[in-house]
Amino acid sequence: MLTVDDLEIGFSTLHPLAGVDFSVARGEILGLVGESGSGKSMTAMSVMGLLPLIGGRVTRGSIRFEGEELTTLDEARYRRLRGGRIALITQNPMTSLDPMVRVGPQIDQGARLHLGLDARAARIRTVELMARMRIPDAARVYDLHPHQLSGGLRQRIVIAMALAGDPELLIADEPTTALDVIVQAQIVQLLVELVRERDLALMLITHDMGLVAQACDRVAVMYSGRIVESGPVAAIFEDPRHPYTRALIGCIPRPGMAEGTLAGIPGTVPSIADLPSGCRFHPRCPMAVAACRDRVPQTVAVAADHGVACLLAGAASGDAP
Amino acid sequence: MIARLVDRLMWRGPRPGIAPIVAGAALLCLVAAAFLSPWIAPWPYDQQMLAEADRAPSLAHWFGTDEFGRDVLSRVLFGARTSLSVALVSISVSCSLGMAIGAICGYVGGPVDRWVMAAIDMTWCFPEILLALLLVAILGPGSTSTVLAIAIAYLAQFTRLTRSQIRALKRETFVEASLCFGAGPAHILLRRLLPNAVAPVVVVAMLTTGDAILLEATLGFFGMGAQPPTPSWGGMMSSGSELLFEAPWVILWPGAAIAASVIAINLFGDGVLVALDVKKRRRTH
Amino acid sequence: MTPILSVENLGHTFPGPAGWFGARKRFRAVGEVDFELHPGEILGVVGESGCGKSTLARLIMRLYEPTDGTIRFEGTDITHLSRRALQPLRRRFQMVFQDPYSSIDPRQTIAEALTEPFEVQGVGLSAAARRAEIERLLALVALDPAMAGSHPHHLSGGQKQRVGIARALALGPRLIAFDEPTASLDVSVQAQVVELLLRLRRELDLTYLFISHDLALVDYLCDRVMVMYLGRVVEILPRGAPPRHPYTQALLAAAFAPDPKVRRHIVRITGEIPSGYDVPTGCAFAARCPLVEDTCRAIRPALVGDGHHAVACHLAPPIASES
Repeated sequence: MLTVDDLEIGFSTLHPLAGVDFSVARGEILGLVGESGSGKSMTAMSVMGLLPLIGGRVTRGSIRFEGEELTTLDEARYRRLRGGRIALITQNPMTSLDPMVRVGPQIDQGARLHLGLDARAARIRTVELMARMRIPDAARVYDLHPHQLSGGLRQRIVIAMALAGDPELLIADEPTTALDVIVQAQIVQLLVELVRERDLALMLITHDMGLVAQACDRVAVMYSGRIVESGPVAAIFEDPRHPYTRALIGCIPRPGMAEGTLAGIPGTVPSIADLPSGCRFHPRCPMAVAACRDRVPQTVAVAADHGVACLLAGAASGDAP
Repeated sequence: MIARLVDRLMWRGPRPGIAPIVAGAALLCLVAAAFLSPWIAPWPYDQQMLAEADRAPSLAHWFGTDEFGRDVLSRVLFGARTSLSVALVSISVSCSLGMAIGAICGYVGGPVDRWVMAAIDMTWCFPEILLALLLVAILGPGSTSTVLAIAIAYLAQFTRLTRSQIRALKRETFVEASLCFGAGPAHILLRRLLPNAVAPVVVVAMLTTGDAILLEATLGFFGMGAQPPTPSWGGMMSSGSELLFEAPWVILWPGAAIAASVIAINLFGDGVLVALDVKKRRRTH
Repeated sequence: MTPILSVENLGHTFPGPAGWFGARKRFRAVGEVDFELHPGEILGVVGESGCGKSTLARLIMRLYEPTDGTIRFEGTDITHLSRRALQPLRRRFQMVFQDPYSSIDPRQTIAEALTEPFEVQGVGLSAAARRAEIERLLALVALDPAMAGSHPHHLSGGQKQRVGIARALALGPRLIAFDEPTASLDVSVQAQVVELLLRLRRELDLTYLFISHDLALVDYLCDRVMVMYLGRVVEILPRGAPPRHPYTQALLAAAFAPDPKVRRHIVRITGEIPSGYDVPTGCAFAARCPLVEDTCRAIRPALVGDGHHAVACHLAPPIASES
């Protein structure tokens, strides 16, 4: 449904993303996971066609949505797509909601703009949608302002807003980061249900490997503007091939781990102004060899639908079962 | 701060452009002229040459002469001395007093804050000029009263600004960290809060100096400022207004001086605002 | 062994927004908290936002004046000690804050931030001693000594948090309270910081009060975990023990396990935390509890148990059944 191929984006002379490939199918949840500075939000902005807003542009590659090329789409047609067939759920519900407007009419907008409903029909649809989001007493909440709602309810409103235009592709950028554990679980459960029920494609951007494990079907691991490994969620967690993926999984505390076994990754994510040559992970990689400094690793398939961009991927598979 | 300012104005950080630099240079010339007026003025400011009254600008009197035959150029230069120093001193007094009150109110909070701020806010109920006129009327005309009147007229603004800065900074975690080491109120206020609050207040002080020059001129125009024969721009315009058609240069030159200094101060202040990046500076991530 | 910190019936109520006239509403942030912290122990405090865990740390650090109860530090009652009386004691308990971006004054250099504790405490350091101290502290948290002259905005979040830890260590404390020290860091950096904390505890013989919302992290790091809900302790349990309180169970069930084979898609808890302005009379969790009975709404359950595991729930199975 969405296919991103060899995407590179540029800000003047800097290229924060290079050679990004991934795809999302209908009814599928793709987790785009990485630490801050890995370029995952930038990828979302490229798909949404919002790069010009922050002064960037696509310099190479393609983004195809249902066969339609998005990189060359003009702004007017993009605007019809955005909020309509492609919708975004952002991290901070406080900034995506207008504090001066009641929440109901904010959800109406999408239906009125993209489905051409009149005010009354939009309202009926919105209340239904809010009830579907398990917002208690939806008809009353319709008339409240954002500040009168809790964080969890606000995030439900934002999801309802995204769904108002009847999208086919949802992009959720850290949708639960600002929320508490229990509310987080509720929101994720809701998102998963919606994807299954409406046969949506969901691109879930997150830094939380736990969330990926719980919600996603496929995973793309990003590091410093590149996808270093991608594959089905089970393969990524049970047989991670890229040293970065392994390190990332090793950073998460699990029950029963002994003291001193939480690995961490030495060093920091490189700044886009000063990217290392070759494999961008090599300065922090415990397995790096001389070749890693010189050669940019190409993505190779290590199993069906499981690709790794590491020169040592073949060798590394030796110690995996 | 000065080093940072020069740094920013010259080449680094957000570029404020050329206008503030030109304005700054003009301001420097103006202050220098005011300071050096006893030496560079061609005539004494109070030398009357009644035979040469109301003369148009000429080689002998570049800006012409007034109704008593005094040299307008010399009087504008000496007037700069009065006007600029009254404005600067009054803003300095207003700014430091406002910062002290604002810092204490913001830090202490509670009923002290509420009642002191209520008293200070009362000055906001009057237009500045009315308040200043009222104060001069009570204190009697003269430079000292003018300074006090202007200082009080702008006090609320500095107090409010400092207070809001301090109140926001007080909640920062680095203040809690200092408290954890056992820091007392003096350390917190003087070392942690005020240094972080000072930049925006200084910028506002700079921009307000322009207003203060105008206010001083207005008081002078109403005869409430510096008393004759001491020249002030406002006073000169007042006497010039009677000769508006016979000798327009008498009102024109001090008027131009006021306009030029206010414009220069505002342009320069805007540049400093951009260069110090006051709004964005606190959160760098 | 005498506890390094003992807290009895600690409570704090914030005055609500002030008006010129009339009564203020009061916000109950923390109430009836009892616990002891033993030397060398790491006690985790978990709960959702607004459960009072940060307030608790600030009460113990005496950043807020407690409205009820007592705090004893190494046997000394510090609940209402004046600032001057508390000053020398402050060398022995310190705090590390959540947001590394705002916990260092942006105008300070790292060296200035690290020596501020000495300055505040009136410890005169010669230039050489000052340099040596800065180097020692930076080395403790594995930072490059060349960083001493930098300003905080030149450092990464992880580096800033290390400076925050070094600064808390400056005066040689026995107890350090951490308020979500890794919440704003990436997992790779979090793992490094957590390992650093474990190493420091070993090397310097420290005791930690570790506040977090991350159950997995707390389970990895802490010897005991205290679970808070709406300002009250609902359960204190040893590391790895099965939770008995329905709230603790819900928290644990809601946490995302980093394993796609263990998926839990059923969240039984609905609704949200009540407000501290309007604390329910019975059990605070009653409105959201899947097991709720009439007693729960009427009577607030007390925290009962032995020294290791205690639960505040009418319906929790008795502690004795645990072997």
